[in-house]
Amino acid sequence: MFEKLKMIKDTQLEAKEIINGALKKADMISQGLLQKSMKVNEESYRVEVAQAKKKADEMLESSSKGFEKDIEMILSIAEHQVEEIEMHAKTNYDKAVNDVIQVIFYRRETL
Amino acid sequence: MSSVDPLVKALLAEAHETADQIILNARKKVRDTLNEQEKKGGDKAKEMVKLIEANARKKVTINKQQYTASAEIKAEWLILEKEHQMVDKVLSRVNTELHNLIKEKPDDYLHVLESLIVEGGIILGVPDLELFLNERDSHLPLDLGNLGQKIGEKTGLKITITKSAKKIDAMGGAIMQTPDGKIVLNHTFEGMLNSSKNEIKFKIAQILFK
Repeated sequence: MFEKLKMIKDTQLEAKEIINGALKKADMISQGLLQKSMKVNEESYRVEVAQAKKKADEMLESSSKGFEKDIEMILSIAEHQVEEIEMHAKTNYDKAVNDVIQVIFYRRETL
Repeated sequence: MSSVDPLVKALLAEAHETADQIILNARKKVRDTLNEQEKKGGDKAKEMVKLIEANARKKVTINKQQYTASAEIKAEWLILEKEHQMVDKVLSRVNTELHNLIKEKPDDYLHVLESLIVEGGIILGVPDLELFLNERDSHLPLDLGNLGQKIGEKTGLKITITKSAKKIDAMGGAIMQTPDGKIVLNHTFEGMLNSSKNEIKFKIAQILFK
């Protein structure tokens, strides 16, 4: 009778160890996979952000090339306007000189 | 076979079953957690990417505005500078022409000088006037008595004009003042050009660029 009880008790201990072992194994599975997952996620995050930064840099670079064209256009228009102003002014140049002479020398209020 | 064997077997079988369930549960929990983390990580990365893209677009817009504004200011300056050059060119030519007129049309110039003196005398409106001329003009045959009379006709005063021995540095025209020197009128060409320089420049610009 005593031996039977002992066998049952031993079996219970063995069962407890089996469960404890399973718990430890479960814990190891959780820890290992979670750590691995964190590394993978961090790397994936880093890669996506790096790609976005690269794309942003490219956007800035390509847009600044666009600005250069805009600036060239603005300055080119201004230079064209300057030429037109010069041509127009040349047409009226003698009249302007004469009108000032009329006022200063001949005392006529023609300006 | 002992009578406890079935019980022992049952205990062990239950323990193994529980252990298997524990590991299955752990794997499931890890899988769920991984999925959740992956989703969170993905969302965080998407937000960051959106932020980077938005900042880049904002920077592009600001840069464009700055570059464009700077270019437009430069363009305005190019035009203004050219306009100033053209106006200054006219004034420079006026100077040359005035020199030429004084030399080439001495009779006209004498008449102009007399007009300037009469105009100045009327403006000053005092009986005694001191007249300052340049070296060349001080030898011109100016009838100061007649000029004084013309001024008197307009002011109702008996005018006496005295030519100063001191010579001025001017291309033409005269400086007139009261004997005490308190009121001075600069009717030289340079003085007239200078005193209404802004007005003259504005009017030249109107003629040149209208």
